[in-house]
Amino acid sequence: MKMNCIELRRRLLEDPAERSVEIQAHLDRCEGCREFANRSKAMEKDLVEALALEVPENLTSRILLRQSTSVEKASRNRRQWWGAIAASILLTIGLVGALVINNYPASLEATVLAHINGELRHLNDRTNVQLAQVNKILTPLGSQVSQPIGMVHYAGACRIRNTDGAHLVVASEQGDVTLLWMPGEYVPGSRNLSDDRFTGIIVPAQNGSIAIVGENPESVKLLENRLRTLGSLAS
Amino acid sequence: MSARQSQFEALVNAYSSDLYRYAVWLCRDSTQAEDLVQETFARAWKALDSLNDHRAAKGWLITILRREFARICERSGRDPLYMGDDEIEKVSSPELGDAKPETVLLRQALLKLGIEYREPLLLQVIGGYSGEEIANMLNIKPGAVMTRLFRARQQLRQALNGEKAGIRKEETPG
Repeated sequence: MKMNCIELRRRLLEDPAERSVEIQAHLDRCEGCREFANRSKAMEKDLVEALALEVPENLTSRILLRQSTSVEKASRNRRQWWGAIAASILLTIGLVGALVINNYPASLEATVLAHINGELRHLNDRTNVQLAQVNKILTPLGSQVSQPIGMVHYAGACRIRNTDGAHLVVASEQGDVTLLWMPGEYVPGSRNLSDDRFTGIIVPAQNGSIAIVGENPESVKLLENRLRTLGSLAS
Repeated sequence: MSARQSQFEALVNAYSSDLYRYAVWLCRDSTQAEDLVQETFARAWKALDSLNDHRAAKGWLITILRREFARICERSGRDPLYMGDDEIEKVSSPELGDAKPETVLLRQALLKLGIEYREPLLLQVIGGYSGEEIANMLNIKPGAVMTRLFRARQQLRQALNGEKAGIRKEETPG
């Protein structure tokens, strides 16, 4: 079936570039449609020209710039993100660390010094405590002294780190010395301690340790020797 | 430079001009068109790994651009398919430049063409796609694409003939 003029013109308006065999055959024999085809071709050329608007200068560069900026930003964000994670981890470690430190038992040295500084009043005590009275305090702790340690001005039960202990103040020529019997507080060896006022030592005893603390290191040393003689300290 | 970066730059160099022209004729606003192209490439960069065949790159970019335009229209409550004449007047026209009178007339006629006719025409002339391919891109039947192409050119011819007649009349008074 031959293509008529209406059909041909419709096809050319749909796609002016189409040159199928049947279209070409029609154009070969129809002058009016040839003219229509030529006009269509010219209009199509104009259309291509009309659609080809001028592209803004540097459009390509601006697109690439935006992309590189966003990549840089993304990598910065990623870095910041990792930074934030690292900061969170450090914060967590810090918080956990602080909790651990806060809940971690204070050192025995610090406990001893705090205890003595908290009960300074006993250093003013001038009672002459008898040996029997001292042993009355020490016996429940599984300890005893066979001979007087020296002039005892105070002897009382106390609690150190939630454990029963004994608090003694012994007179010496260079100032009073405090003795703290601390059952259960085992130390592997002698440990020195000191603060602004006091100086002392924690020494292993038979069932724990004994702290010997005074303002004069010599008095402390003398008491340590005395206790060692009495057999109160671990050999 | 990474392979991904090279691929992206090649895409920008090859297609940014066509994409910009397509965008201008789509939204009839040169400023918005550039934003649209920028956004298209920004999305293309993120989705670059999904482009498997470089021969499909242009169609892929056009699809991104069309989606982005639809999104903008949706956000602004503007229907991309239907624009009144008064709205068209408000839209800043593409640079008509110092083109020859026929080109200027044609550009004005194109601006007034409804988007349902304009878009298949853009895809055919700028994109170089067949009726079948345009049908796939616009998600309409191939027959409908051909009808729209026919009507688009018919309307352009009518507009041109009318305007040309007017010009001729003005040029030869009395």
